[in-house]
Amino acid sequence: MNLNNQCEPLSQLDAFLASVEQRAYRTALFTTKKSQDALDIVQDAMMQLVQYYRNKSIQEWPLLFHRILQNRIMDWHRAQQKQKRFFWQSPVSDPDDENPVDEMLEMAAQDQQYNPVELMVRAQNVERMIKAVDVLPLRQRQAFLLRVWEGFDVEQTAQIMECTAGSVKTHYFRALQRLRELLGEEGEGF
Amino acid sequence: MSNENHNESINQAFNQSLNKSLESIDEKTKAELTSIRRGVLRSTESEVIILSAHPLWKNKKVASIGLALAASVMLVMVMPGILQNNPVQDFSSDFVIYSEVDPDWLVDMEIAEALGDD
Repeated sequence: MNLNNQCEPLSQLDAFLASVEQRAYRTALFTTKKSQDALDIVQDAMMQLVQYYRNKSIQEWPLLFHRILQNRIMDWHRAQQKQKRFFWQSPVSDPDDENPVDEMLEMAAQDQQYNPVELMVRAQNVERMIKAVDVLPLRQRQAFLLRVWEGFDVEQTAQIMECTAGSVKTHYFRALQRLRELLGEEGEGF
Repeated sequence: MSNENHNESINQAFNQSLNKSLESIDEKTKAELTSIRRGVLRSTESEVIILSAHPLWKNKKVASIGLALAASVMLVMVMPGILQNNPVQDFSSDFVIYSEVDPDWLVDMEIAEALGDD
């Protein structure tokens, strides 16, 4: 294989992975709460991207990488759920399993109460804000981080999360609502 | 302010907070991430998984592949020694496959034997 042909994509890959590695680690850490598990997930995601998708165009890498990363996080989450069941612990109910249509209607009705400026002011405290994100259910957190932090639009987020755009909207709005509740509770630490 | 602008502002605020949270990642973890990235990229250069890269060993899949490879290599190295100590006797020269023998040569041999000629 021609070394020159190989070096350029590799340096691009290196630059891309360097640009996403810390955020990917932080994203995984939100779910795993364990540094080593988060590192394993990031490593898995990097390996998969490099092994199977390095020949794709650079523009496709962010979407592919986050899709792999979110899948790995979901796998980890499912494995934990299985482990809990194995040890006869009651599985944690995911509030995201509720009917999304009803929830959307409810949220639309409550939209007038949503005050982003107030929320923004309250979100100044980074630590408090991170703790609030930390308590979000997995799917809400995924939608929230992909939309807000990674800057993906609804369609891209839907592709990454392997669900419909409507589901993404539901998760995202629920996340915002939950954050509003959490950050609005002045004096009640998380 | 419209809802869209509100969303923009709130997204920016959350984005800044999340970016700031990256500062709390300690140096050791950052070094591990860099090491993982380099190990992964090195694996593409040689078109095989680099097993000597330390962080890769944390991955169970890679570790199991490594162990399997190591076991195979050991087996290949040890097998000749085992075979040398317990050589399998080669009987192949004791058998003659008659279908492959030239019939004329057999006739010549029989005539020679009948004449008592060695």
